[in-house]
Amino acid sequence: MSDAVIRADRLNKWYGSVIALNDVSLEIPPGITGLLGPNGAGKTTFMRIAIGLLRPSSGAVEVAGEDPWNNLAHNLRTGYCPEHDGFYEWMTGRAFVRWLLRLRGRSRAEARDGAHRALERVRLLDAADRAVGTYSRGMRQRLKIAQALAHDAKLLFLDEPLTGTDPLVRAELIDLIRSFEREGRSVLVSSHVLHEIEALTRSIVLFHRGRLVATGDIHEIRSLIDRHPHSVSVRSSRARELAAALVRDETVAEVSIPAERSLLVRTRRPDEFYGRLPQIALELGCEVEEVSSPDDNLEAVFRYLTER
Amino acid sequence: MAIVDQSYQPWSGDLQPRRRRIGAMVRVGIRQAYAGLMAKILLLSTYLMVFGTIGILFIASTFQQSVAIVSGNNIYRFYLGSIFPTGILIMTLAALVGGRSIANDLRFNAVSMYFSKAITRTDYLVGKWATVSAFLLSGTLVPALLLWICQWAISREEISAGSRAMDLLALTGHSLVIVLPIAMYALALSSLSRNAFVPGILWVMTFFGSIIVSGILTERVEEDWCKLVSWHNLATRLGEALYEKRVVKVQALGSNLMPIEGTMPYPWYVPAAILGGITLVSALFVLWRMRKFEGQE
Repeated sequence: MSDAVIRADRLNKWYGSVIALNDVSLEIPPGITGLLGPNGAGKTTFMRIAIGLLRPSSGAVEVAGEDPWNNLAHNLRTGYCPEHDGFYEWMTGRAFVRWLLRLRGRSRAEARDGAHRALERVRLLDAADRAVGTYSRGMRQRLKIAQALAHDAKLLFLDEPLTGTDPLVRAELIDLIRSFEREGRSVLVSSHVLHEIEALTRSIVLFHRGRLVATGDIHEIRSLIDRHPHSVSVRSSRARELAAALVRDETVAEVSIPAERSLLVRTRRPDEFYGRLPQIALELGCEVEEVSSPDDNLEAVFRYLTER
Repeated sequence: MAIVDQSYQPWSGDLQPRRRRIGAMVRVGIRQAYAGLMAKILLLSTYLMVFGTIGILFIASTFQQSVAIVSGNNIYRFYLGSIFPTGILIMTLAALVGGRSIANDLRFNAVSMYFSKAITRTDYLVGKWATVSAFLLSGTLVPALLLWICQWAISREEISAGSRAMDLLALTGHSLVIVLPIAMYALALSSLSRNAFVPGILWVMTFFGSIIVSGILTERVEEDWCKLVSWHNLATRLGEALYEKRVVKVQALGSNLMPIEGTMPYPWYVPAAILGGITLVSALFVLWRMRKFEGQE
């Protein structure tokens, strides 16, 4: 028997007449695994079934050898960082994490200590006593991760944890997530950006339109994606100056300005580009507010995988 | 992959019992409910009115032998049984707080935050019900208790401690009879929409609609069952049943009983069955809706 932490067998999920997961069978090993696919591919549905938030329409899923549905012991072992914010904005970050620990059955003292440790771990202690409503996007992502790990979860489910973060926060969060693996925890992290997952792990699972497309080593997928130009969306208050600088860079194939404060960069060397972008921004002295990658390039890979 | 640290240690403490976990949920819910400005204003107005009434009665009682409304259990019976202020107050508070209870969780994607913790769907329902009920009790039970104490202080009747204890039980029961079905029904409406405004409006329409329809039917059909259509009548009839024994004793003292609207010639178990049925159906509806939440976040 393999040592898979998650095992799905002919898993299906329908929302009315819409099929979200279609006959998915897979095994996910310990360590960090990236769940990759464009928006609407079924990543979140798979994650929510594995957490026990959704019941499969048919098929079965086992997490650490147990059915996650309505399973209290499973809930105590797993931590979930949802894609969308689910905060009470008036609560402070500290009160929020402490409260969720109380919902997990911790005593008052354990909740207080656990919240402190988790907030320290995600480097949010300085803002811990501020209302969540005042938090930036990056702080919100950190807070969601803090609540997911605060109860010493063995298995973490992180749904798009890097979305909308700036390059600095993204690098910090990647380091943080990788540290979970070093401690001996397992992490299932979803993204629609290959580059993000690549920075975290080599083990990936690809979903497309509810189907499992591929599992395995990211390098095989990488060679496919490098044949297609990679789109990167950048938000900056000095978009035009940044565009002028970027277009001169050898890693950039094309730059367009689709909206005020927004750039769309196309590159065939995304690794190098992601390394160059902070340097160029620093040289110009301009702030990069957000870096994200649209689905288009990934769609091309999925088309290749599904149509070959 | 290289796993070099392996410092992870699973938690080995004792899991707090279910009531503590639900209690944590209720405390946060109540804090959230009190944070609303409109709810604060409504409750403050009620307490000002109650304290004003107590003051006037205190002055009146110093000049008269007996004031009818202070006699026996009239004062809190009247407070809990009247459409104004209590009926309107509870209706509005339920619309404000009950209506947004689940709707806001849906709107802010907070439902998964509960269900991924040690909170089951039943715990969630119980917690939300307790939250809305506890909040509504601050508009029924707490003022009624104040009036109970005031009656003790102001009234010149000689009422035994046993009768006062029965009154205390009756007003507590009456408050619960008013609040519990309303809270669950408001939750059922709240589970219908992400917009808290919709369940609030639906609840106000239910409450006022039942009173208006009952009034029209009573006028036209002139049958006793027409009174059963009014939500307010049902709660009032049940409340009256709780005071029944005590009412006899007050009459024996020769005090005047205040007329309470909505009394009807049906035994207590008829309105109890209707309100109980509404509460049960509402609870089942919320549990059914929670299965539907699955695909909504």
